[in-house]
Amino acid sequence: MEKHKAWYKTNKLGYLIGALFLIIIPLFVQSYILHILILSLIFAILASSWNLIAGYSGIFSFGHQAFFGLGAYVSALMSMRLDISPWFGLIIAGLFASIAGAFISLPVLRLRIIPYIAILTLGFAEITKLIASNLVDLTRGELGLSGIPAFTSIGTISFNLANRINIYYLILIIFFITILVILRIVKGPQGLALKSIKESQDAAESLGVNLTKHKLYVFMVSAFIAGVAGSLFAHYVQVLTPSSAISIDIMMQVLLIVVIGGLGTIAGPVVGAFIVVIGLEYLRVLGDYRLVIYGLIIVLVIMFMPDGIVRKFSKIKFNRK
Amino acid sequence: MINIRDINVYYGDVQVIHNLSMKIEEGKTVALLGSNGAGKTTTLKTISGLLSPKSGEIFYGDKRLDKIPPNMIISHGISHVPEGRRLFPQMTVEENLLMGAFEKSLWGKRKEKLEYVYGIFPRLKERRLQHGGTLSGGEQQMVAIGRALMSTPKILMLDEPSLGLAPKIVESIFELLQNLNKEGITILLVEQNVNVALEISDSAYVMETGKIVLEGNAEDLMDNVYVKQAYLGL
Amino acid sequence: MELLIQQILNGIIVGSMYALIASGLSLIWGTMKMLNLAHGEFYMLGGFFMFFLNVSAGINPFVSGIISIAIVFIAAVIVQRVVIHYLMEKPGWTESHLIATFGISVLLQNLALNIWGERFKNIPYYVDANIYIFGIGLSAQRILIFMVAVLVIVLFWGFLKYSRFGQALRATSQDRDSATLYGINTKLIYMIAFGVSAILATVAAIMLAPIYSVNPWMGSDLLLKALAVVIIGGLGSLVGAIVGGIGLGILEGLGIIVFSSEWQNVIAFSLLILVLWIRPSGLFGTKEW
Repeated sequence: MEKHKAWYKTNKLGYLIGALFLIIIPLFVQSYILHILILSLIFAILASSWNLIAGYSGIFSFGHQAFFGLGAYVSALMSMRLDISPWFGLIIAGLFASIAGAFISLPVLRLRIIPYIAILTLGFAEITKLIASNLVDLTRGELGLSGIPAFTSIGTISFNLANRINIYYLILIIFFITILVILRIVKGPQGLALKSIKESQDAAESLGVNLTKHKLYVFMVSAFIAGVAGSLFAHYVQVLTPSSAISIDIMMQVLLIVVIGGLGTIAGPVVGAFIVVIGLEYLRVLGDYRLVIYGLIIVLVIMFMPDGIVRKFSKIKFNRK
Repeated sequence: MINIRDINVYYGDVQVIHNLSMKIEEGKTVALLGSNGAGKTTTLKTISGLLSPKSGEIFYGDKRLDKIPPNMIISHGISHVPEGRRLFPQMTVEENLLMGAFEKSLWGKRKEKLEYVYGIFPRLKERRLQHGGTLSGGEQQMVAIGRALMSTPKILMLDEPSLGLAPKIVESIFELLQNLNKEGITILLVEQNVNVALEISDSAYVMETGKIVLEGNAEDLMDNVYVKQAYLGL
Repeated sequence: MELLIQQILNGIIVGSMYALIASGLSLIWGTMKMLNLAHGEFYMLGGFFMFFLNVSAGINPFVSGIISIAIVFIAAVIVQRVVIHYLMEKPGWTESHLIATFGISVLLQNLALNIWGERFKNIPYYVDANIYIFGIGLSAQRILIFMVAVLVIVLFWGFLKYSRFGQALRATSQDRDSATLYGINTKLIYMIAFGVSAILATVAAIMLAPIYSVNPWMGSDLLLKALAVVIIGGLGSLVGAIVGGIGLGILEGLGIIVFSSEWQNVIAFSLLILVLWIRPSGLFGTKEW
């Protein structure tokens, strides 16, 4: 117990230092680096939301890009076609993704075999992507949306690309809220229920843990956060195509981020996001070989950094039959 | 015949067997006793190669058993009836038995061995086309032992053959083991059913938390105060 | 009416190849309890090797096919030996294999893209004729596809059912420890099973390449379809893979009459979600091999 407390304290200190760093850093960097930091934060939010279901509740989804893309498209289209403020769009994007999450969680929550969950969510994301690229009248298909408005100014604080630093702080605030929400879930009684679900569904059920309720709740929260991340992405980069926002490449990045950072940890996806997004920029010199390297890194990390990756999973005794 | 010297076995980082040494002499029945989780099953799995010791040696005659790949152990005449029978659930009784002689050097003699096993367990012949998963516990144990006998073993290792079976069936299985021993098969018997096991054994080892805590011939152990209190409830 | 029959026939023919690919996925699931997300890349590699041998080098299609199969088999065995085998012995296999095979898929797909380029490549029909059955015209190429599918499935089934390897494979998939105790080298079984599953994908690639085209993305597209097939049919069931494959083929063939082709996959995946919703074990149930 004592040991646990001490661990928690050092962890707290780590969080604090990390947060301070994120608050101060933009004051010292140029706009190009700021751009990379903003993207890192957006991916940190997205990856944290995936980690909430995959790392903490063992729902191994391969379709998180659907929620991200849905949020991005809903928010972008509303601001472009209906003149709805991106600020509302942000919330509605989250709600939309969350409803989609609830819908898809109905079949997902009945499944217990992890690869089945992977296939189902992959299929769902593929449908979402196909709809976005096929509804040409609405989304302009693969041509994509451009000229998506930025977040409107609040008083004298404007959020256009000339004021990147404001965008950074906006996203940082949302990032902090995200982490707090996730911390609240996983460190609270809800977290205990989730953990018991992950360790053994049957045992949890027999102890009276209402699986469906808990899983549905986390799934919806996770989808909501992913939708918000999508909306932030849309109003920041201001261009969207189905392949940039809903494709399996997004899922690959999330996977890479969380796997490198550490599945089932709060800091893992955040650290991973900065490593991967910054790494992506540096690997630009490699041109298209970048993705080859990505694939290779995923394989190598899962093989040789099992503690960093499957740390949570490895606690379950491997039962080979 | 089998000589285990000072082995240490780990599951991942957890050590489950500590400096274990054991001797199984040819033609004898040796019992390995102890409560749940004492490391008996792990010891058997290490002998049959499913697990490898981190240190120590296992000799079989003058061969190093722990250097032989697990799938080659059977061809040396060592047959392991695993805990919980572990039949192939979607194969018929006969297919399960034939798997016992699957190893290349044994395959040629499978027909006569099958007759031999059916001779011992006429019931299995009646059920030969039934699937392994649909049999009663006792019948499953017969298939498991029959499958092991298909390989013409010199040493038969059995992991808790009495588990979950009615006393009458247990009795007949132990009678069979005695007969097999008379035919010249060396037997290593892992049991929690200490009383019955000691009755048919020549010598025995008692394990606790991965260590051998007692050894001796069966009669002495049956009179041992510690064994009486810990396992026989006397 | 003629269009309808034509589409059903086409559906059966293309579906027979889906069945081959899905059988490979199913085999691996049944023996190793793994979902190979890189399965489509073996299909892609098969298509490229066939193109280089048959079109670029001008070698006769049959010989090219055999060589392609051999190369992909070796590639798959290497992947299994280096990555899969290593992970199987470690904790967390249920998740780690998904991540690893996904990584392998990204790796191979982009390697192909960088080395061979994004231009779509075409392979000419292996046989050039039209055959009329009851007044319905079919190219001989399509008939050949169907014949190859039937032949390969019968061979594959017979191999599993009657060969010593097949028996060892079934024993391994039903109880790995018992199989080892009775003399089966389960590591070798896994390696060969993985290679055989890649062979099935390669055969499909060789046969379908003249109808579609060869490109770096051909595998991921087909993987999704094969996943739909194995789910609908029931993972691990050979009958399920065959019925599911042909069923999806027919559905797509008929779907084209009603919907435009870009909605094809939406139908397939919706069906997949529906099946998982109503009957998670698939129409034919899951089983081990």
